[in-house]
Amino acid sequence: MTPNVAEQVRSTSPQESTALLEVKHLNVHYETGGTPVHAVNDVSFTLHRGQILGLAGESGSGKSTLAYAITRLLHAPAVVSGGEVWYYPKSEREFASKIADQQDTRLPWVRRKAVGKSEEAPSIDILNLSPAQLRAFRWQELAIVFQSAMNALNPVMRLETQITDVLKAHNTTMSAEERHQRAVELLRLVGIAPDRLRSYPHELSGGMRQRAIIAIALALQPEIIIMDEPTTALDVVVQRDILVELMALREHLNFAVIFITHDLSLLLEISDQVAIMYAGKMVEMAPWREIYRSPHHPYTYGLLNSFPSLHGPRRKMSGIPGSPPDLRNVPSGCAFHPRCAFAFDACSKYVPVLATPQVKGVHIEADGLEMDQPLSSTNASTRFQQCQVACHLYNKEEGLQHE
Amino acid sequence: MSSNQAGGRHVVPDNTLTEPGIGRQTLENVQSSGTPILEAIHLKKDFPLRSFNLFGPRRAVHAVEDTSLALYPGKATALVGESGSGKTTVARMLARLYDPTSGEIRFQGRPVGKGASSLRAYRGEVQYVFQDPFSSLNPVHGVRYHLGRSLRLHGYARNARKEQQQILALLERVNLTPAEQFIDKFPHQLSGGQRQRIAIARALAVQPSVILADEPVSMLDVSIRLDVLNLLLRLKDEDHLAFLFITHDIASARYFAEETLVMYAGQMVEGGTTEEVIQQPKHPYTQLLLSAAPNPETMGHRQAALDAVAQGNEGTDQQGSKASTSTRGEPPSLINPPLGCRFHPRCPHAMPICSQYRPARTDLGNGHWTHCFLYSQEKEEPVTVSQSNRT
Repeated sequence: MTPNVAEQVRSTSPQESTALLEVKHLNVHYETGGTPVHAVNDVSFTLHRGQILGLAGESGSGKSTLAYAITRLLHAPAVVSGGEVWYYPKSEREFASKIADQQDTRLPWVRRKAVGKSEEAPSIDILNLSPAQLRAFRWQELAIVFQSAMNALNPVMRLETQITDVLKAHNTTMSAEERHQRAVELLRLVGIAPDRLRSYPHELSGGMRQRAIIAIALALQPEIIIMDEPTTALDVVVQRDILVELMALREHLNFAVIFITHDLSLLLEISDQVAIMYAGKMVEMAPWREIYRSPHHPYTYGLLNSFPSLHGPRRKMSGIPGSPPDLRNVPSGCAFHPRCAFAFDACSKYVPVLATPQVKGVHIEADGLEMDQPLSSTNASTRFQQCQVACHLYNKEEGLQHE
Repeated sequence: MSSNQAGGRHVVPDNTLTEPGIGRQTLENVQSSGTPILEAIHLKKDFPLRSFNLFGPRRAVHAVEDTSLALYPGKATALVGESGSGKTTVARMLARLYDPTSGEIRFQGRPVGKGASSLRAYRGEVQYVFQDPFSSLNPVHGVRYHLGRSLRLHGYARNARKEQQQILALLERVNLTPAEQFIDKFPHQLSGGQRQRIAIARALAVQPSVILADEPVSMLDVSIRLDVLNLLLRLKDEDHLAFLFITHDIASARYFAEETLVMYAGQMVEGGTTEEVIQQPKHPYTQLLLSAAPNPETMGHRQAALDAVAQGNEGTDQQGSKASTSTRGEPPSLINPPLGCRFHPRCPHAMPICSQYRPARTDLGNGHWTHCFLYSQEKEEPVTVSQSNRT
């Protein structure tokens, strides 16, 4: 448990702030006629309880594919070709037993060790859940909010039907009256007047639809909510409202969020941990402060510099030259090297691994690599330990020669 | 960037927009200082709604109301607002894709003519860059067709050899090099950024003096947006183009434009030099827009969000829908817009007068103006006729 995350997670008990979701070496590719397209390439990360993990990247960087792989929403031609996704529910009683009850005996090929029975932390291997287990797992533990609320709501069903549908499907003991009460409660929670329950989606504004989707995601109080560009289609003012709402709800209900967006400045505002993806790989992962103050990867630096600022001096900005790679034909070595100002020999030959930088106290500034203040204080070095970057510049053997 | 622009600007005799004491009306601007190349004067656009009751009231979407603006050569004017605020409608009226319901468009000081030939002449001077490069290029035609067509129609290329030369030159101008490789490509072979460059090249083909750019980078990948913006900036300086830059992102307005106009629900609420408007926003809506923009530079934002959270929690206890009322709310319906200032239902400073009268334009000096009673001296402005009739 890193101190920064602990500080961000405002949960009271220390043992609560442990790993909730662990993704290990996940690989997803799309089967095409010729060579498969690797959309997610060896991605590993851990999501902690109550944490907001921001996932940033351009379109085609694999961030949505990653989210869908975690939720098992992918279907052919997408194939999860390797890796594991582990979910650690709060207590064995609540969930693990429930899943164990639902073991689908009709499917003998399902691995029975799917539900871990280790003493201190029950764990669930999401990628090996049977369909029945998956039904119990989804929405109860992990919900997803899709990008376009316009398409995520059924246009011919009233809002109430859509909310109570979730409750009906996942909580069979609830009476119709209770479901209605819960629907009212949920709409209140996200700031929609309860009289809107009788409305059809087309009678709601874009912002309200997105709120309604969030209400549906919250219906069963999941531990994790994955948000795939939830505010991209909305105006800034509405976006701000929804984000504030989201922060309030998280404070209230203490769920963890994986927030996917291409807007890095937005991510820096709301997330605790930020992960940057490029061409299907995670190139940098660090607490938001580190990403903002001292980005390590040249791509992160470029992204940060792609957003004009509202204050401070107006200056010519350069962005990132070139265009995002075609995933069918990813450059060798580091996929970013053709666009990178710091690229050297090793970059086109070897694939860099995501690791704590070995060359310490260096980060990128406008005119090249900059030394940080000496890392004498323990504070600075622990901060530094939380950063992970996949770049040869920070690799001892290769990087130092270059410097 | 500032030095770069200053370099391009000295061709214009003066720095019109920062000069104090700009007149109340854009018309007076013409006389007082540098000549605007394209002007909109009190433009208004209503889109009639289908009415099923023959004898019922005629209803309409009042998309744009009383909008005046002026574009100057070598300068960019940004039009900022939420979706549905009417900014695209303004641009389309200026491009003469829509006819204004009332009001006047003046090009080089003269009202634009109505006939087909004057329209073609107008299109030779005023060009439009659409938001979405994935739908603004015809998928069955190649780059050569898209660029060659405007060249031929406007009489710049009379034969195939000239056309080829000019297309290559255009492609090079928008940084699509080597141009020979791009000339025979089809839209599906190009990335979003490259397509938008083709769209820009197509606009440049007729050697226009005004470019209306409707969110030219919002559909592009984050990392290439700046590239395209920088390209437009360079073209603006090189060709001395007048730009109308429509955006919902106020930060890119700051990066791109010298002047910024803010629209809300079909009306202009504030305008002035970009720095004035962004650093000292006067109208409550501009303030709201600026505070909502994601901006990690002000770390206080995070705290502000958390404060709002605290307030929100108190609010939810009483009444969910009333939580954090100050920013809550959405732009009004333009079929029956609120009377008076259209922002007053959401305005934290709303006064009784705001719901009765439309605030007149108040000049704040340095070319900065706003439509708000908070800054108005004479509070008893007469209500506009069209608004009082609507009830």
